[in-house]
Amino acid sequence: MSKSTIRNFILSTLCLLCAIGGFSFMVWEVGDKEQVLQVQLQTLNEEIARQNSFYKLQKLAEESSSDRDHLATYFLKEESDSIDVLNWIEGMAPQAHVNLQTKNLQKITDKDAKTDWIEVSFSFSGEQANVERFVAVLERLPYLSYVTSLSMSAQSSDNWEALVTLRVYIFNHDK
Amino acid sequence: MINKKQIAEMAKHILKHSQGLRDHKIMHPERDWFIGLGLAITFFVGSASVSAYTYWKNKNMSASQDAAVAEEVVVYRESMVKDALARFEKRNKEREALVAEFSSEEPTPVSDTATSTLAENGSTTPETATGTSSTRP
Repeated sequence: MSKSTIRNFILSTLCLLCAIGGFSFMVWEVGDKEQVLQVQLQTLNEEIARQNSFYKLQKLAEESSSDRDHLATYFLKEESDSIDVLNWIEGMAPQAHVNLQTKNLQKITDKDAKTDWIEVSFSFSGEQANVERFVAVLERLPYLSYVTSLSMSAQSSDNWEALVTLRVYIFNHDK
Repeated sequence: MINKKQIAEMAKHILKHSQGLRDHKIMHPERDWFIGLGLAITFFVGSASVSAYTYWKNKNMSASQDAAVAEEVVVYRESMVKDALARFEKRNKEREALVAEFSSEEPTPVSDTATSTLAENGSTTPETATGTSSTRP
């Protein structure tokens, strides 16, 4: 084997190895870039999905704001709002021709349902029809409320007394 | 007796002979050239195919709004809200009707101290009504 043959052989082998190395690198680079592209695209799609959700939520919030605001007026936001309820009831009593006395006011927490309620007890007296009608009014307060107990007794033929306990729901966003 | 010189000559002869044979068997310049060229072309075509396939696979890849990404579902129970509002409206109307009845009546003075009247059977509380309302919404 002549020296020139060996030299050519070595040179061509080196060229082939370089070509193989170069192509291998390019193939690996293409695969790597493909993975990077897929990850970036996935991230972009997630971002688009989040934006879509946000726009949908925003549209829904705008469309339903009047209903939600209206509905929110029927809920107490805080315990201190119970003053409004008491003022409303105490303001209504003279119109109903009954003598009203607030007996008890406390906050009740239903641990199972994780809800808070204001429990108020009243006693009021007056004519039977007025007492019954005032009970009916208490059952229809402009709040999410319900009467938990009710007892009526006749003190005399024209004077009845009622003891009513009612609960008003406190809507707490954090729970 | 074979001396060192003769052994060296014999070895040299064998090696030279063997080298010559090997050269003659292994090296076929034309054949080797085509083999090398074939390998290079095969590898070039292979890597080009892989790259082309990757390009073809990803050329239509784009960020689309129909991407299979789980969108957060926003639940708004509109019918429930409407139903609740309707119930409250009904309660409001009933209450306003009751309040209107109060307003239309002449105020009756109510004494702060309840008077006790003896009933026919002697009881001070002739009638008693107790109960629990079940108007929970």
